[in-house]
Amino acid sequence: MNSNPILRNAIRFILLVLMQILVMKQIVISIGPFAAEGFVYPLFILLLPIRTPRELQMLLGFSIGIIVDAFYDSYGLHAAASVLIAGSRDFWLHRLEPRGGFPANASPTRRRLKSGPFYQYVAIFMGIHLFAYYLTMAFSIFLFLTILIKTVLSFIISMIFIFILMSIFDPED
Amino acid sequence: MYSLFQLLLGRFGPILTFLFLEGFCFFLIVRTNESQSKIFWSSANVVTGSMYKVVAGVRGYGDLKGQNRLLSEEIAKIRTQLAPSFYDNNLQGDTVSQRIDSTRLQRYTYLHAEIEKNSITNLNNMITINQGSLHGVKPEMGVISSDGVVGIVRKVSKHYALVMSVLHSQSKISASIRGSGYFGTLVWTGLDPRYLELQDIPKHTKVKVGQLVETSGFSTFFPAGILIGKVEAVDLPSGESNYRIKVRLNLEMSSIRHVYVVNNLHQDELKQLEQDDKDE
Repeated sequence: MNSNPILRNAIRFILLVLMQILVMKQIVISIGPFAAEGFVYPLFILLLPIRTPRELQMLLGFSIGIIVDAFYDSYGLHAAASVLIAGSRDFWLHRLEPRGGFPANASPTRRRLKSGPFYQYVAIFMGIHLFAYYLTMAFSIFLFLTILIKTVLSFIISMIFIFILMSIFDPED
Repeated sequence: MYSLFQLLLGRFGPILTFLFLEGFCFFLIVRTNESQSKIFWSSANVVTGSMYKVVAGVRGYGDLKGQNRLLSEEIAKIRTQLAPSFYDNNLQGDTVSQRIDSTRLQRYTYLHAEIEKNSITNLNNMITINQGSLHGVKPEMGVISSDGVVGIVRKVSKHYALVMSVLHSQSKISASIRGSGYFGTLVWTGLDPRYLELQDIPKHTKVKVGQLVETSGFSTFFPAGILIGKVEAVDLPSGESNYRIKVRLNLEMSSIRHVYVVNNLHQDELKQLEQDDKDE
C-alpha cells in the first residue's frame, strides 16, 4: 500500500464511507421491537495517525460523520458522535504508547498495538460512539433502557464487521 | 495580541474545536431532525416558559397604571349601581296607589379621576384632579376614594377640578358614628394629617374607641355610609356638652391616586327646596 499517510487515509475515508452506505445501510438486525444497524465508518477516525493534531482529528471526524449523516438523513447525529470520539481517543492512546513513543505517522492498528489492546481500544470508542449516537437520536435520557439495548445490538454487529475488515486488510498504518 | 491568541489557541484549541463542532452538530440536529427539534423546543419551552412568566410579571407591573385606571373606571360604574347610590322611591302605605316610574331612582353617579396634585402639609390643603367641566364635574360635588372621603370640589376648569381636601380648615363634613345614628361635624384641626376631629356628638351618647365613623348622608355631597375612619380617642372638655372625638383617617391622604367624583343627581332639587324655604 501507498506509504503517503494523507493518501492512505483519504482512500480509507472513501472506502469506509462506501462500505457504510452500500453495505452496512442494507443490514438491519432487529430483536423484538429493537432494530439496530452496524457502523464501520468510525474505524476511519480510530485509525487516524496517532500524532494527528486533535483539532484536525475532530474536523476529519466531523467530515466523515456529516457525510454519513447525509446518506442517513440524520443531519448532525453521526457527526456529533464522531467528533466526540475523535476528540477523546487521544486520552486512551496515551496509555498505550510504548516507551519510545509511536513512530511518526503511525496509526493505532492491530499490527502496532497487538490484537488485545487494539480491540479493547476499538471496543471502547465504538461503545462511546454508538451510545452517543443513540442518545442524541432519542434526545432524552428517559429512554435509557432502549438506548442501551440498541447500543449493545449495534455494537455487536459493528464489531463483527470491523473484525472482518481488520482481518482482511490488516494494515500496518 | 497575536501571541495571546496563539497561547489561547494552543492551550484551548482542542476544546474550542470540540465545542464548536459539537455545537454545530447539535445545531444541525435540532434544526433539521423533526423529532429532536420537537423535544428540544418543548424542553426549551420549560425554560422560556418560566422566563415569559418573569417577563409578564415585569410587564404587568409596568402596565399597572393603565390597569388601575381601567379597574377604577369599572369601580366607578359599579358604585353607581350600588344601593346607597339610589333614592328609595318606593311609596309605602295603602292609601297611596300611585307609584312613580320605578322603586329606585338613580341618585348618585361616580366619575373616576386621578389626582394631579395633592398636599397635606398646609393649613388649607387643596387637591387637583384631572377631570373638569368637560367630564361633568361641577363645584360642590363630593370626592371619595375607595378608602374614604377625600374632599369637596371647589372650582372647576375645563379639564381639571380643584378639590378642597378634608385637610382644609374650612372643610366640614357631616359624619356619624356607625351604628349610633348621632351625627356631628368632622373638621380638621390643622395639625396632623392623619387625624380629624368629630364635633357636636352629644355627651349622653356612648362612644367607644375603635368605632367606625362614616358619612351621615345628611349633606348633599356624599351618600350615607362611606367610611371615613375610626375613633382614636374620646375627649369631653369640662363644661361642654359635646364630645371632641379624635378620628383616625382610614384613608392615607398622602398616597391616594385614584378618586371618584360623586355626582348627586338630586342636589339641585334639594338646594332649590331649601332656597324656596328661605325666600318665604
